[in-house]
Amino acid sequence: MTLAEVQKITNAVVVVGSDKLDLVVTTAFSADLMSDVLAFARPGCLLITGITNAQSVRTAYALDIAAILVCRGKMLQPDAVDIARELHIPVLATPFIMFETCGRLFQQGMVGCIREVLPRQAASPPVGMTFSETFQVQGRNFSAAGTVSNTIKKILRQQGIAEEIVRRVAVVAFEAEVNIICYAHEGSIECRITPTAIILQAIDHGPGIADIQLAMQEGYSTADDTIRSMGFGAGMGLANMKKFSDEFDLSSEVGRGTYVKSVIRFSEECAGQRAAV
Amino acid sequence: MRRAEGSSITLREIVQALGCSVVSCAAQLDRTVTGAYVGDLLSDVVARSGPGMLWITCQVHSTIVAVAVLKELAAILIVHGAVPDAETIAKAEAEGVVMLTTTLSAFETAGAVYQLLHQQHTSR
Repeated sequence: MTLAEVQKITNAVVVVGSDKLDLVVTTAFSADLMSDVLAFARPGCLLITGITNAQSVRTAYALDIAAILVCRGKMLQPDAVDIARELHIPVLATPFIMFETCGRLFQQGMVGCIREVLPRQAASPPVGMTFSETFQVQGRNFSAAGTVSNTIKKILRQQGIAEEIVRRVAVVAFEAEVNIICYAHEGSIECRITPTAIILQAIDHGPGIADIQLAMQEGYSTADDTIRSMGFGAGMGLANMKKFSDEFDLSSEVGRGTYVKSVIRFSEECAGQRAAV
Repeated sequence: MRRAEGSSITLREIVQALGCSVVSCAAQLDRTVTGAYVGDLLSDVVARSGPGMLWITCQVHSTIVAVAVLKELAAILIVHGAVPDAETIAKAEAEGVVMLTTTLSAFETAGAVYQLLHQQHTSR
């Protein structure tokens, strides 16, 4: 159904994106805990939530959620409205409680972006479980691009980590790997699974980054033609890594190399306790 | 046939329709459910839910039992495959709070319960 239909079914007002009411959304996810949204929501869904701060907008952006429907007669906080406008995320607000909102949309054919959470998708590994492995990455070895990140992805899946977490780690690991291949002589990526998070650390020996702020900007790249001809070097790598991380840290020394750390946390409230069972 | 709005169903009907697991007070499934409230923010639930409602949430912290007692809710239906710990289950048993669990998402659960409450036998 279109956002215009969602608006009508839920008696909603349009807070942001009145020009986007023809956008089609077929799936929905409802939750108040952003940790649950991060763990289970899928790209393209409608997020139904009672959270009114900027957190909901940022989460929606990070997960490519199509639109936000704020329920319970609440209104997005002004700073969150500004961010939604800036990130082009449509926001509607309904006076209905979440139950009525979900029920009405469900009856009109909207389905959950996930139907259920199967046991293997438990959002975090058993308490106390830790794992660490370091992978070497060779500079300029373009044909190997993706090998390390896919290996990491496979390991995480085998550990039963939630699919959304796996997806985010895979994106960050891939970008880190490609950066080493494109710009450094050699480097390594360490993947550590802790009871609360997955931590990726990439270290390389290479030219380093002179202006980190500039390098973080979307679209900025120092890639040469070889790199670009292979589809890399669009200047999205570092920005993407930051976008998919809960914590992101980058330091660099020109002529020496670069260090990147990304922390992707398991959902805190639900999942932490779920894992204890 | 469509029941009048505001009509009620029993917990047993919900358990059977959704295939929920009953984790506490299994003898209390004849309780009637007058409506439902979906939410994970305890302050919202305390402020807005009412007696006889089924509370749909992904929260499993033992505080949920206190909220259910306070608001005289019919039951707590825990979604997303979350499971309360033994301490929470014991507390619920002691306080007479029915707790159900399902692997369904909150949205799918709400949709199914909404349909039951509105008794619309449309096939999806």
